Amino acid sequence: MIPPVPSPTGDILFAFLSIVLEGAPYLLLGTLISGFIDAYLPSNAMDRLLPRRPIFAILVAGLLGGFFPVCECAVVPVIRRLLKKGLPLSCAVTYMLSAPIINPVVVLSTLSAFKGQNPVFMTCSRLLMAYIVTVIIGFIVSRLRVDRVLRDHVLADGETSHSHAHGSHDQRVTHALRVARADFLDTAMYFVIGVLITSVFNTRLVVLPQAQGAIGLLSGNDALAIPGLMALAFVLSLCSTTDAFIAASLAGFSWVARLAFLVFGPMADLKLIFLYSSVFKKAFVARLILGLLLLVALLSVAWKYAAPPLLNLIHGPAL
Amino acid sequence: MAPPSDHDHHGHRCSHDHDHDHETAHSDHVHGPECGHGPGHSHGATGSPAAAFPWSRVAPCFLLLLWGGVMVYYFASGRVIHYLTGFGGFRLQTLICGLLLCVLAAFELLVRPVPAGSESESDAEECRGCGGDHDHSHDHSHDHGHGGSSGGWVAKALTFLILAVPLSAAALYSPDRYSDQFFINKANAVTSSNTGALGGGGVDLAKRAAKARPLPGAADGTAAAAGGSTAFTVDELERLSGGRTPEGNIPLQLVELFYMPAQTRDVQEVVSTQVIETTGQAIKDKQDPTKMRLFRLMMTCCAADARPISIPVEFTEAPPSWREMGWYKVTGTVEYREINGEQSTVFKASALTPGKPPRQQMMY
Repeated sequence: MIPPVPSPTGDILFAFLSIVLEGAPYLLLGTLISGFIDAYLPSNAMDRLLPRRPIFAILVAGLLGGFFPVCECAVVPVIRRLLKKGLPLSCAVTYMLSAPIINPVVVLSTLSAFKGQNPVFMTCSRLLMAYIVTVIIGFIVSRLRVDRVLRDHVLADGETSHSHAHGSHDQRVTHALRVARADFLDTAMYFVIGVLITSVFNTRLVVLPQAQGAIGLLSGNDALAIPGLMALAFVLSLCSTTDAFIAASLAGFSWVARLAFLVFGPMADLKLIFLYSSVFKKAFVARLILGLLLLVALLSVAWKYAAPPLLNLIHGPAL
Repeated sequence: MAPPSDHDHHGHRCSHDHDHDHETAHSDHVHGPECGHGPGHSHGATGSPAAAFPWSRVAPCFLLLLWGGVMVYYFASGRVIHYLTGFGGFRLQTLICGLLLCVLAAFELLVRPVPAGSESESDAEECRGCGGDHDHSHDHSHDHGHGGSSGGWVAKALTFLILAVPLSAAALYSPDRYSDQFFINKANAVTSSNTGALGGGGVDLAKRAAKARPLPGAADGTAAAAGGSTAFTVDELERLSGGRTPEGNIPLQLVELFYMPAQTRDVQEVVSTQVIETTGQAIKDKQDPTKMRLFRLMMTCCAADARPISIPVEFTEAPPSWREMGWYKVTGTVEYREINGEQSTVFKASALTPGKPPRQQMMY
């Protein structure tokens, strides 16, 4: 089959298909995990795993990504299932936001991407800031009413929680695959919308000379560069396992702006808005994105001034 | 009644009136004759005439086969090379995912009709067995439209279209490459930095050399500086570049030259002693339009993250005339110089010949 001639529409389709071919395996992985969680994890497993005190539970949830690594596309179906298994909402949100950053694959990719540009400092800053942000968000969510956060059918799922921890092995596998199938199609719909919009932005807007000029203008001043790169991360919707390579190549931008890019991107971007909407109410998604924007920006500025003196204390001038 | 906090919200811990109301309501619904399936959903013998054709099963099946089929086709036809890098197993993941989706579709088509009826019976028995402290509408809500539990046929049709149309359009009409206009825009985009990031890892000559050599850590720059006999050699460069061209030049990818400043000193030195040949598109230098840069797009993992990389080309004699965005092969030597505060590879070209666009539009 001879592929059609390149065209502006072809650019969109080409970019769209490339993200789908890259992302769909992770989406499927997430939904398979979700299916097997549903079939094999007893309802009270989460109670046993997490500390009883809500504060400690949230603090632990922020680190779960280290043991259950999933990237941001895969995490959404997984937390939906964990919510059903009794994971408290605040912990679920903290895990959902932190797992795409606080996980071994991302640590390794960030270290190798920033080779020659303070890799250890960048990686530690990224993990630390992601942890602080997600835990703060978790505390805020724990004060909210569940029925104002979760979509009605997800809420209903939680209330009608039914454990499949009994039943034969075959029945459980059958059940797991059925759940995986349903979750895959469910999540893929939001994924498609997000990727489609991202592809249009990527091939028609970000590459325009005017947009590139604007990006160049931002790079000099951190007051503009930090929100600028966060906006870029939002539009580009990169995968958290590879965004460090893009961040490392953004010539002219300060390390703080790139750090904001690396922390904000995996928690909030165009495709994630739609994926989050499969679980959360629209008003909550909007507030979550806004809250993350403010929090990451503020913490980045704080870290910009706090980090160099701290590093000096540890081992002489480094930056 | 206090608003339920999230920690004690879920059914198994609940003691709120609020939650009990819900459970009662649900159990009424669920233990009805349809066993959790809404009206219009046929399975086994309980199908109503209106639902004689099992859309609820055929549509997901079709979608899974479509997604799986597209992924397997793009892998099997080799077209995937234009979309994903060869590093990190991205292409293999696509194949595995495609096959698994086909398996899920087959499972949906073949396995489900039989157990659907019998399973709900056995589940019902189990439910009686375990005291009824939970009810039994598990997951059937998923079959009721993906847009939400209230989804009617409009929502179902919309879901179906969103899942089917963009992917089909892309699979049928994707040109496997970007348009020239996209390339021109990218070529003039903010230049990438060449410090640090070594793409997917395959461009790292020192790393490749270290892997190819029996002695571990031999590519380490400090070992070479200390006068070790394990330093990078011309022979290794020849082998890693895939052998000399008929003219006796070392063919290197533009990306390998671009990242040369990040290589160890011994690699840099060996490369600078050889006549190198590389291919790319010619573009004007933004700061000095009389000067030429050689440009290519490089993807990190998929085509959507393609970013522009370019190196300056200087001519030993008067620069020949060249066409903007034309493909050229340059022959000459490389040197390393600081440009705008960053170490950069500069190509000192002795010859410029029009070249053919490579089969793969992008590098990785």
